[in-house]
Amino acid sequence: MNRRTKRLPAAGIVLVALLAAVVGAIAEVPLDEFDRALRAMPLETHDRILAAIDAHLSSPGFPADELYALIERLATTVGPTAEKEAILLMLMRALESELSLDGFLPAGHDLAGAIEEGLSIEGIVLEALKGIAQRSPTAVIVAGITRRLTLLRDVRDLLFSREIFRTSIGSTQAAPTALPAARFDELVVQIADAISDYLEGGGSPFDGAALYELVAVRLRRLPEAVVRPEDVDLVLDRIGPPDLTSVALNALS
Amino acid sequence: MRPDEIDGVLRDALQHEVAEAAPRLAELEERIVTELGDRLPRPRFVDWVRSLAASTRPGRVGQLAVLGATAAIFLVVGMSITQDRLDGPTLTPTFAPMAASRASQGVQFSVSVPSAERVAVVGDFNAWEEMPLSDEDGDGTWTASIPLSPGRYEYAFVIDGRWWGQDPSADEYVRTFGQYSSVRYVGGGGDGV
Repeated sequence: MNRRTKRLPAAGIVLVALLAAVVGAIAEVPLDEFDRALRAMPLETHDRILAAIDAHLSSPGFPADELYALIERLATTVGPTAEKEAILLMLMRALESELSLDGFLPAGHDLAGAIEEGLSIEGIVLEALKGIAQRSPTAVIVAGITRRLTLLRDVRDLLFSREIFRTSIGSTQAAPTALPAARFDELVVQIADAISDYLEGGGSPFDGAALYELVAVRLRRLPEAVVRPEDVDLVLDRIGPPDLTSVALNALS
Repeated sequence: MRPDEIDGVLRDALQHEVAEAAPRLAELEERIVTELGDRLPRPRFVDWVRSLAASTRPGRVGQLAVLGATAAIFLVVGMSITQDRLDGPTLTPTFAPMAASRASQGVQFSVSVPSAERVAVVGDFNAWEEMPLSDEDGDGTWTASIPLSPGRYEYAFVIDGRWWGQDPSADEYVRTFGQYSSVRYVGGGGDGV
């Protein structure tokens, strides 16, 4: 009797552990669910992304729930499929490089939020892919994503404040300062990218003249198929070195 | 029905609608892109990855063979031969555009590294995924030709696994994540093209 009462708590613990294991197994997102969520977008690289998930799904510590949540968010995010796919490709490349997704998933949500704002994030993802290719630490890559997102928003707002506007897709250009969406977005991307490269290369944000010169050179060297000369003239006429210093300082803060 | 139950039902219904509409939306995007035509001249890096994903399909083998043969002809004709003289890798890249179409140019990447066993080029044109260079005649000059639309491109060579981002003939350099990358302007104000 005494031995039986001693065994009861032990059996209870084993039972609870088994139940926890079963519940845990049920709570994990199965590959079929990832498949279904990815198909909702749909993606050209669906098979490759799914294969990367499949290869890591059973790995200890794999953040399946968090990854699934991001995929579900992207599936319902209004925006270009290519940009949503870019985020998933970044995660896939991180997985293939045996990097932990822990840092990339919050960045993925930030990028998804940027898509919802109408920002073009392809260049930011490309920078992240470069960081992965260079085997940079995850924290450095993610910090780069955050900084470039800040720059993208601030440059967009700077242009707005200088009355350079983005017309909606499909509408005609009503005024010289109301640029079609693609042209406006390309300007924002190129200026933000130039500032980011300047800062990451060790340039001082307080040297507004050097920063302005670098942005001007970058924009003027771009082929007309990418950025029109009249758009470059417009933006360089309306922004100055102090504006760029302010944007750069905010990105570093 | 409680409010939280309504949320669940609405979410399920929305997801179902999105899944149902996805194929039609894909066609819509395709139609819009077609209509936009050359207003979207730059290649998207996902296209590169898409091509990688598609490259395993049997139907692509023939296309790849033709592309490979064409690239080989271009390489043989256009390759510049440079001898190495230094201990380390001697980089003498050429970046000569070769007319391929109005939309894109075959841009030649070349580097002389006789001691190397494996050389690749990575860049934003291929989503920083290694694309091997070849040295078919064994003279130590590794070359590849990549069709690129007008634009600004960052790239680096990866020589036996080592990042080499300071191409002497680049238009400019950028230093991110502590390492240099080269920059070329294609079809614009760059020096080389």
